[in-house]
Amino acid sequence: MKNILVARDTADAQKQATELISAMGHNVCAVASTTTDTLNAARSLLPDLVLLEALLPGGLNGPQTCNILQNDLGIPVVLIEHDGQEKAVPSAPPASPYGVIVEPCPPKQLQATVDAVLNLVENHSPLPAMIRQQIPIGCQADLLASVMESGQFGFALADSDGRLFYINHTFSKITGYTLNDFDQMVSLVSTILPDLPPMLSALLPAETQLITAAGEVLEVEAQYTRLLNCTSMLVITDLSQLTTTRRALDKHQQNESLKRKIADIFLTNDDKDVYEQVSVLLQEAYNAEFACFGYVNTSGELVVPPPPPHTPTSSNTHPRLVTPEDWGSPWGQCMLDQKIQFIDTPSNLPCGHPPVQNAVAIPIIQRGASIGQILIANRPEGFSAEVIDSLRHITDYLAPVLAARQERERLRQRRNNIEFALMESEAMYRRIVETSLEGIWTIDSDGLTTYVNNNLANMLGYEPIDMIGSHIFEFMDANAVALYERRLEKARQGFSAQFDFRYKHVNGQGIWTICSISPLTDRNGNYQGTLIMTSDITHRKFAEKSLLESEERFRQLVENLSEAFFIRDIKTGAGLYASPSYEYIWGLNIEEFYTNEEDFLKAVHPDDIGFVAERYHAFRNNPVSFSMDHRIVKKGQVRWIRTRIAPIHVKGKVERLAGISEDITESKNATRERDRLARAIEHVSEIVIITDHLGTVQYVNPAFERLSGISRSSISGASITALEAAATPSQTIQDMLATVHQGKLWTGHYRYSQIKGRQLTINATVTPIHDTSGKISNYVSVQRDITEEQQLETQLNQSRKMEALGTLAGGIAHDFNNILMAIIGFNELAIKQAEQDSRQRSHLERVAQAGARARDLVQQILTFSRRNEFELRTLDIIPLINESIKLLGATLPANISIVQDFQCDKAQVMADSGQIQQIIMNLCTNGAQALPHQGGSIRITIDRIELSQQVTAAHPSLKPGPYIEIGVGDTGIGMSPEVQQKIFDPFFTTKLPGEGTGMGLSVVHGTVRQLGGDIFVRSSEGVGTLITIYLPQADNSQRPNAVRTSSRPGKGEHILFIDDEEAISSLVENGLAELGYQVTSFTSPLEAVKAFEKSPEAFDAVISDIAMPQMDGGELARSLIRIRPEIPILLCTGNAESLGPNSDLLPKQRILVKPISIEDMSSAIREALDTEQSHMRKQ
Amino acid sequence: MQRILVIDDEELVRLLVQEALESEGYEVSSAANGVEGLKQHARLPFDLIITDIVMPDKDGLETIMEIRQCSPDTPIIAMSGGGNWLAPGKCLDLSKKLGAYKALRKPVTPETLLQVVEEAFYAS
Repeated sequence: MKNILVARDTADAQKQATELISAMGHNVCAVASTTTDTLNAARSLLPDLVLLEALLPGGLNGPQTCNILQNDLGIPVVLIEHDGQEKAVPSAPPASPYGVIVEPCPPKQLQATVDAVLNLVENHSPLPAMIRQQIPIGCQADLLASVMESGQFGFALADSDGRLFYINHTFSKITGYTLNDFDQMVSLVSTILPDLPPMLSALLPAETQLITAAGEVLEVEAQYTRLLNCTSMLVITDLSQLTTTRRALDKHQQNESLKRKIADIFLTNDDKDVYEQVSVLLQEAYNAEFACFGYVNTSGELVVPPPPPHTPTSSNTHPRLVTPEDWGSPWGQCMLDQKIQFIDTPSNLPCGHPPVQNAVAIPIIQRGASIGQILIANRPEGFSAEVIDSLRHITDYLAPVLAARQERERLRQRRNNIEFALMESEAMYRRIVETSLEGIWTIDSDGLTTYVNNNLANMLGYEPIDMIGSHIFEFMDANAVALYERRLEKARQGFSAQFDFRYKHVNGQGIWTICSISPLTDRNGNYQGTLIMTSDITHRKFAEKSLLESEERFRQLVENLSEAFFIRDIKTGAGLYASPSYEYIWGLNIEEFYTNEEDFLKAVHPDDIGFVAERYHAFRNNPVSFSMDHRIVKKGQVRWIRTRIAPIHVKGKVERLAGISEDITESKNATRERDRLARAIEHVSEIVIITDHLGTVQYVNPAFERLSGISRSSISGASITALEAAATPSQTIQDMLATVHQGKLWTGHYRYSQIKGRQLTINATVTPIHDTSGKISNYVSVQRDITEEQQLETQLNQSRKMEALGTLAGGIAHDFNNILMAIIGFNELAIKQAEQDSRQRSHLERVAQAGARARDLVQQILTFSRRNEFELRTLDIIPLINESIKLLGATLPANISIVQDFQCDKAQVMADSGQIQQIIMNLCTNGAQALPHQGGSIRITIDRIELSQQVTAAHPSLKPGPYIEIGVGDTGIGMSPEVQQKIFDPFFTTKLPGEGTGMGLSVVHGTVRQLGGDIFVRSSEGVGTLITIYLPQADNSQRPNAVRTSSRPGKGEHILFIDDEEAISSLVENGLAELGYQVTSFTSPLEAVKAFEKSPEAFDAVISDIAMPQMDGGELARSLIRIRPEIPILLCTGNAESLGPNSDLLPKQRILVKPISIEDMSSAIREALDTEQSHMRKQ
Repeated sequence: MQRILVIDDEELVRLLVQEALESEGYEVSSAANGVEGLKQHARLPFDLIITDIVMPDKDGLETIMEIRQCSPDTPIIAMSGGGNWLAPGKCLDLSKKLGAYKALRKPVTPETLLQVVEEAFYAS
């Protein structure tokens, strides 16, 4: 392929030239339309040839341009002139292009000229500029001449005018003419080559007949060519001189012909016929009796066509397949050896094989592999080298063809396989589509149904045929169309989507499906429709809904639990879920649960962190459910938490842990409370008995054992009736049983006989316990031994009674004295005015006597109420009693004897002698009166004894210490218990009216108590009575007290008293001094504070008024408390409501509201002092 | 004529004292309690005052103290039949300490009273 520059003036001309040159297989490297462009392109591209228009616009004309191209650049030029053009360019310098074409001319001429010039340049010393420049001009002509004279070609040259100027020797030899015979080239040509066209233009070499000078016709090849400078040349070759060449050429042509026929066979016949046809062709072409063209098929087998029909022995009409293992015969061997196999002599042929005289087998080899063979047999001429060459030529030709065919076969086979597979695949897919459990639905771009499978149609209750052509929107609710349209729009845009959708069943019900939508496109990707894969998930939807509802139920359950529920990852400990109670129970922020794996340890009590963390980590290593109680600190408070942890199995593996925490503080407290109660019940002094509803003892506490003397083990399981037997009175027990059997609580006393025989008074409460159904399940009895308590209470009651009677009597005495004063006084005035010895005066004197008795009685009452005053002094009572006995002896009947039994010589007490005498006289008189008519004895005993703590504990009126015991007993009629309880009551008497006042023993009682002692009575009806008196023993150091009363609460405590009213101060000072207190009073609170500051310990209590001008009582109290915080202070106010800022200063009992009696004040002081002392002791 | 005031919450006692003393030539006024008595004394001071001890409103002891403040020389005779918290003896003893000339235990006869009044005037 050569590079050619086309330089023509018009576009059409350029196009035409370009097409012609391209058709020749050359390359048009550039196209120019001016001479300047042409030269520039030629210089830059150096083309192999320039096709140059003679009349080209630009600075130079055609010949000039031609000269530059050829002479300077050495590029051959074919100049295109137009008929008559040369005359139009007279100034053009002469140019000698390699070829000249005069247009108009046929396209072939242009192509021939270009070809000839290129051949000339390539084969005939183009003599490029460089060579011509190096060889001298003269030598050029010689060289050319020598070249032209030698060889077999005849040359005839004419100048630009067509005049012959040279004929070489060979030309003369062939034609018989010399240069002299012709003047003009035209005439020469027309003479010797009559078949050539008359116009002498450039010709392709053509075979023609030449008429020699001798008239001989020779087959020649002639070529007429225009040369440089418009010279022309005729070249002739005597073809007869070329016989050898021609023969070879003939052979070549035969081969080429054979190849063309083979090509025809391949092009026009079916594959199955090709081999047979080629075989026949070869048989004929090589004049052989038998020819066989075999090929190796895609399976590697040699396919041998059946013998031609005219073959004598041919019986097989089908191709034969020969596997490589059977390639033993010569024709197979040639393929194995890849060498030509000659068979010159007949060999042992298989039966039925046509006879073989000679044969040759030639392998067809392509890329080193035998792909077929040609076998020619029984050729009469035998197989010359020429025939072998020809055959080899054919096999070489067949090799690529056969290879291509085999390749095509392989491709076809592969395509067939693929097509088959495709068909199979399509069938399979169709079956899949038709039988798919999924519904498959295709719609076109308008939404119209193009296909549905049975499953989809069934899903919606249709037959497939009923749905085809229907719009997809017909199968859904109207309100869902917009949503579906959006999905379809996405598919149109090329996107796929999956979503849950509810189609409408033919019966109107909703069918929940999961839809996968994807676009259907053609090969170019254009949207054609939509594929919708649909699965019915209605059941799943219901299941999901049920699951959601179930989950919601469980969620609500968990979230409403008061316990905290949580789930953690067992490996990482990460929080996965915590119910809202988690925050409340643990007091932690729920966000921390999800961010901190061990957030809960922050809340755990410092003392419990160790074991909680240990249990938690142990569980993570060995997940076995456990429960632990521990403390946490929540908002500063310690709470008890019970946490239960359990593993959660997921697919057989423990993946998570679930925990429930509950606040068990209350329950823990309750348990501890219960334990405390249980321990308390075990330790209390009260008896606790629990029985079942039938009265079988289930529990008794140790107190029962102690009190009853019955062991717990022996009573447990026994019937309660065993105990009832020892209880009296039986009526009480019956009442108790009846009450509790009715389900009511019973409280009462009964008496219980201990095993040792001692009688106890028991206070019992029996409570029936009801079970949840309301039936009695148990009885609980709490019992207390109140024997001593009852005794004490009896004494206390007696004491209180006496106190109350005393208070009453004291009050009465005051009024009585006023009344008596009026009676006695006015009576006295009346007596003065009455006449002597008159009845009136006598009556008035009787009134005076009665008044005197009344005055004495009042004195007795005052004595009983201990409001009488005596001169107390230490005195020995023995002489006094002796004196009294003497006095009594004179008054008592003779049958009554008085027996003295004094265990001591001296018995000193603090008393008034009159008191002692009155006691003895009263007791002895009473004793004598109790004696029967026949008389009896009265026994008086005196002893000094020491009363221990044990004894005084039962008699609170007495304190431990030395006492004088005085006993007065008689052998009289005695007293019943009821009478004994009343004998000290004032005005109680068993005597007849007028025989006694009933004040005797009352006075004795009042006196004894006034002296700090006590009196006891023991009496038995019919046996007698013993009255025992205990008086505190006095020692000699005690001085007589001028006035002492038993109601002196003070014990010399020092009281600081402040009241701005001097009179009050003085009154209270005196009053409190009388009550046994030492009092320092102030009318100025400031002075009082000073005195207190000076010696704060000197005072035991402070009493102050509140309303004072200098400093109110509250302020005073604060000042004193600052000095001595524990000092008891009492404040007095006229109005409790007006305490103001002082109301919180003191406890209520320390506020005294006026008017205040000295007695109230005294008891308040006593209480304050006792409380203070109690505190001091505790500290 | 010497003026005597008798203070007692018991009307019979006031009447007895009044009659017994007026019959002997004294001018006798009476009051039912200390407050009333002190008011009368403040208007026109008496030559002698006889007072009960246990009285409502203002008892005899307070009355004695106040009379002593305004009339230190006026003789005072106290009487008492006792009360709930103080035995008659104690009341009388206190009244003497507070400045009473004599303290008498009820019931007091007119004769005894006249005798003591006369003693008191004599002593003062």
